[in-house]
Amino acid sequence: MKTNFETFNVLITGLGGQGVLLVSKAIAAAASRSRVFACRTESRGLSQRGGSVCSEVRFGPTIVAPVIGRHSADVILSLDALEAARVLSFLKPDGILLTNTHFVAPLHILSTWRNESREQEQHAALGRQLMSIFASRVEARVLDLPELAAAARCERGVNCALIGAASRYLPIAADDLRASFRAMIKPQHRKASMRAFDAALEVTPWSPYADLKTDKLPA
Amino acid sequence: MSIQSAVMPSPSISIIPNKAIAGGVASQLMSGDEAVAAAALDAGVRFASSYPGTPATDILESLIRYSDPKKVRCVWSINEKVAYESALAVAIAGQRSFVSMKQVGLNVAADAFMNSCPGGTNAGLVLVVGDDPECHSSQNKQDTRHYRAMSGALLLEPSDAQEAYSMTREAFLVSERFLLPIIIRLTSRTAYGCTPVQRKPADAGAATFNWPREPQRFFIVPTVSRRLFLRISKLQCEMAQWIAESAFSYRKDASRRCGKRFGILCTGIGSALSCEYLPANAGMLKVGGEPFPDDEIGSFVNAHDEILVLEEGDALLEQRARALARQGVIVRGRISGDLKPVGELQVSEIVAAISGENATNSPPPPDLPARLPEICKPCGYHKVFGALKQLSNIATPSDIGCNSLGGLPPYSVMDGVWAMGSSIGVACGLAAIGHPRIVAIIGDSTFFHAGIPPTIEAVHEAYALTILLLDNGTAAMTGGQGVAHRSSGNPIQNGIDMIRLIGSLGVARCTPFDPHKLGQDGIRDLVEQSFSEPGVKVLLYRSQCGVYSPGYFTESNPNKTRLEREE
Repeated sequence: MKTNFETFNVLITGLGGQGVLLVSKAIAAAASRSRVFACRTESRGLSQRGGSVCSEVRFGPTIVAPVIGRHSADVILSLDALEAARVLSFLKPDGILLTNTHFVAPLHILSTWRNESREQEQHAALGRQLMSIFASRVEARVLDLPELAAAARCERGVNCALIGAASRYLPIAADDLRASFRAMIKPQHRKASMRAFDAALEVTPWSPYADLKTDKLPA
Repeated sequence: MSIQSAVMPSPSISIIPNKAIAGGVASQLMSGDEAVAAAALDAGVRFASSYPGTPATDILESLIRYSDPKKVRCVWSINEKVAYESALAVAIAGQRSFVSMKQVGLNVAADAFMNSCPGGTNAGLVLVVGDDPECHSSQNKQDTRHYRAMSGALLLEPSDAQEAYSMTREAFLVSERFLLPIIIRLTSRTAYGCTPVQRKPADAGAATFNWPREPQRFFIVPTVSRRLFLRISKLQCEMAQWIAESAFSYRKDASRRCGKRFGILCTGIGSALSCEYLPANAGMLKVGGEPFPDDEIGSFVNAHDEILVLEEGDALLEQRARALARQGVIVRGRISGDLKPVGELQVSEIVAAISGENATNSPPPPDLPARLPEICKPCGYHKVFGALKQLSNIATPSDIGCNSLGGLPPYSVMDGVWAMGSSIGVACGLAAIGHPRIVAIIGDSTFFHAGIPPTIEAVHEAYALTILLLDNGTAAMTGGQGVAHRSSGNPIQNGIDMIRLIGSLGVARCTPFDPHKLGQDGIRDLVEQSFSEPGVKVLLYRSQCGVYSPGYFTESNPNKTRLEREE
């Protein structure tokens, strides 16, 4: 795994309202703190209504394009397992996928399942299909983010847990990511959010960038 | 097991030298939308207006956040035409002004825009239009550059947020030089893409205004108009030359020594998307905007053996290149079939076009259920669409906004959606030929925007139709901007009284209802009953949007908003 990078591409995905943009803003801000250049793009509008949301953060010494092509993401972070499977073709062959184990079934599928009275069965079957897609990838990390957040007494902190776990896989000093994320949280939610962040960080020990400090990054 | 096919070539980065991607402490990460807002503020605008619409909504939202309301008057206008006209007046009166909208919004403002170009402006007037070439959140993919060609104005198209800032600052100066409005064309990616932006020292802007009486410029009767269009026509060459010489255009020819001379001809985001994948010896002409500098384009194209044209939207630059290319020069792009004919430029297809390889050897994507936009769980719209689903043989022209979600599964109760306010206009035509069961569905913001004139026509022509006016007290689809019946924050005005407004139009009846109280079956009966009555019936849904207007309507009486009750 490389620690000396030219350009690093992160793709963040999930549903409208889950906090995809918060996660990408925190990463972009932390990357900017480390004096590297960051780009971010996002889809909005109709997708705010529970649709797929995708955001890309690119950093390195010389970024120009705000979007990436297929097989170009070093890391994919996903708040929803179904959305992770949808964008998997953007991952590099040796890229890392970090995803929530849970997913929200689209409403139109759900009503079909309900009409057939097979909601739970079908939901589980789709879940198994997703896990087998992930299992075909070497570097897939599937995390029960809601459980991590709940254990940290921060039920709404699924995105906080994701970014905490992600800090192990990004070539950004964890302290920088922590600080930039903390600054984006409303003061009344900070304590709980950072608990979820730290809980996820703790259960995600492996990291290719464990020794990375801000001053080691290219200026 | 891992996917081992079609791996991107490792980037051989060739940064365009005049692009300000220089970092440093002074730069901050901004989206294109935020950057144009910051530029308008720094240019010293006195007035800014907009009507919400993706991807341009964030522009005025950002400006409202950045600016001091005592210095810059920011207005969410009733529609794009009024937004444009207000900004135009301020600029003619000698103070810089700024107006933004999405691409289909310019259709609404087009009458005012087209007729403002002959007389032009005095102080800088900048119009930012957000195009959506992929139709992420729009009915169509229309390319604003066609309006540029019709009007004869100057258009600049940035490749990233830094350029969006620099172009907008420059646009105010150019507008004052040519005395014309300037269009900044953003596309979804340049609107939302973030790059570090360095701002420049701010201009103060004119403190006072002077409204001129110049009938030879602004009273465009035929004799005046003909003379003014002669001026615009003569300006085209000068403006094209300005584009070619500006810091926003860039040219580097392919080296002659290395076999086939290959070059990229691009505008807007095309340069940013291709930079990383270009061979070191490739040429590039980045054109900063329109009118196109034909001499420059012609000489670049003919200095190469093969050209790839990269532009978001329609193939305007490609058509120009094909017209200017000598025999033997190959021009590739959307027309030639090397890139897909419509939609956003994809990095993968650009890489394939540059390398000449086919990018189709990726494994097929897994078969996964699609994710469609959905109505929020607690929304009263569920009850309305459920009720419509129970009714048979009804015609349901619908409109722009959250109400169009009723056209998607699981409800699928809408016959069609056209333009802002079209639900009622289409209902008028159906009523004229005698359709007995018409229910036009429209939201409050859209009703104020373009729904009132067709309602007047329906009353005047004594059409029998039902208007289901879904009033949630906000423009919800675009993120909860204010609407006319809500307080604008102005102490003398508490918003338009919706019920008095509708009553004054002379409709047969206006029945307010709370969807949660009436329930799905109650709404169904209300609509069914309305079909048996003559004239125009307005069924006025009044219920909060749980996300953007919670607590807005009183719980006990849906006839009154909270503000009306307080009076």
